[in-house]
Amino acid sequence: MPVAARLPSIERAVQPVISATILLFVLASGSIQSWIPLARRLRWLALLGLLVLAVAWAWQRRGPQVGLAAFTAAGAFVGLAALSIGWSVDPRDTLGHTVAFAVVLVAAGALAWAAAGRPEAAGRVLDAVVAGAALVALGGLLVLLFRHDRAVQAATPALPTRYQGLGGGPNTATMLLAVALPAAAHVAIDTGRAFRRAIGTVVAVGLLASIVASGSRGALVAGFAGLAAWAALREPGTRRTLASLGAVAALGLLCVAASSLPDPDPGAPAVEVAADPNPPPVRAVPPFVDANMVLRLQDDVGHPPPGVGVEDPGRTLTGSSGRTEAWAGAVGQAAGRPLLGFGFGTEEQVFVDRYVGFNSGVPENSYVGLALELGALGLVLFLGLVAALLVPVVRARSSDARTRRLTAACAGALVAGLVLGVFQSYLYAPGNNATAALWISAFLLIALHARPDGAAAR
Amino acid sequence: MLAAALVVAALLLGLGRLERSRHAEEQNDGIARVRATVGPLGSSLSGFRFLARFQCLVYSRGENRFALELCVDRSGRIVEAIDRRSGGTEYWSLREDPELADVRVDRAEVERHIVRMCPVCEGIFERDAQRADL
Repeated sequence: MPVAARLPSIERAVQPVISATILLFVLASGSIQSWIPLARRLRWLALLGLLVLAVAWAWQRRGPQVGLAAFTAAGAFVGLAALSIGWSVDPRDTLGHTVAFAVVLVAAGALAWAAAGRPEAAGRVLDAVVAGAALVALGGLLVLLFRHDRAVQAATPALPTRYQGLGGGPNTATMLLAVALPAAAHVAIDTGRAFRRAIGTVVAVGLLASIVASGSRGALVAGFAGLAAWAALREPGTRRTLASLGAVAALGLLCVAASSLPDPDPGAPAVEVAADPNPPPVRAVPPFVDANMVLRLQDDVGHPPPGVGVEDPGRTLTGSSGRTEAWAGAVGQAAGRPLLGFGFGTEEQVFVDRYVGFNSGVPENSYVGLALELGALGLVLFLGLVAALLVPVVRARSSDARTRRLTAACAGALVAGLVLGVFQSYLYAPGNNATAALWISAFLLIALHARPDGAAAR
Repeated sequence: MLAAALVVAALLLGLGRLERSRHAEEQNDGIARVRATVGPLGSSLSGFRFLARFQCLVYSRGENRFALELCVDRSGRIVEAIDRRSGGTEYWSLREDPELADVRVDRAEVERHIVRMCPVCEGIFERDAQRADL
């Protein structure tokens, strides 16, 4: 069969596979627990399927070339991750994480290569990311309708009711929704036909409503940072840009106000967190004490003297939920192996939650997490990759309207993802539900600024 | 080009391993200091901590019942030591890399002290030992 005839079929197949992969990654850590085991297996199959399709598509379209800086930077980062097997605290885990993250980056890079110099193809890939996020938002509504208890996290004396939809927690699926929000806004406002714009509007409103209802402050800040980047880049004129930014700021304030409306329930039973998931039935003989009953290791730092109760400050709009103490502690840990870290993919094993008010197995900051895993060098290589992806954005204003607006949407997704990285450890976590969507959108930036005649954009 | 890449890779590998062993050395030094401060394992004991991966002995100093803590894994390696005498929490830990923990205590003695404070713990230790034998 001639290559030209095969091209559309692979291109068409890529779209549903991207959307299905995104959906499966959410289901794998989702609110429907009976689906988790199957989704966990299927997500890797879907990712491998996406890799194969993307590489085949890129192979067929190997004429046009994209700038190699981003591929070199990605290669250097993955190379360091692979090398870290040699000094990792868990070489097996490091190997598994490195391979899986490399698959995500190669798939994203191959999609960019295949779509290079063809904004319409890049647009279709971005549409698939939006469709995946739309399926997640729609699935959340279905869970709300049929399994209300799974879709909503009940209020506690410290926390209000929070919507989690299809995600395993209020901060889970909303990560993906925040990353996809600028691309959904692009479909809603910047695409041609009225029907597409209407669909895009419904999706964008659905994503935003899900984020607001979840009360996830990180997703809200990240989503609006992404929208602001999109608004700043989509129009060439200063006045229009300022008007777009003003509209985003006004909508942002409205959403912040709406997300602070629900109140905690003082009458609800407090949530007890066990010292150990399966605590052995131990009992101390007086005068000795079982330390887990008085001073848990996960509350050790910042705990008042034994006998004095811990005051729960509740959850405020600007509060860090104990993150700042955890970040400081994790940075202190990273300083123990400052240059090269403890090994890629070992963040969860290395970080120890010792902080009263914090409750997570990771420091919930991708940059701190990266410093723990790969040290200062890993952080520098990661930022190099981000810089290589963002270089084309500088030239976006001089592009034609379609390319400029697509660039704005992809840059918005990347900015949302990077800001989200301040609140969540995920940018380099291949199993996370937002990772694939982020890197697929980000790599499209270099596709949009390649030249169809084969000359690489620099 | 390939040769340069291999040299850089070898250099990084060496540096990574050096960082790992230096970090372990620092943590082991801190653990050894707390171990020395504790003195005999059975004196000034105020409590214990039972976790799946390791168990800890807690020691009092003056009014502070949680002043010092030694956490020991099944092989008798002290994987974590905590000093709370200043009011804050100072800790040295090799939880993530227990193979490099080189300060050891007699595991049987640790279990004896825990059982003295928690008689039901004896059954848990026996069960764990049976599982380890299988």
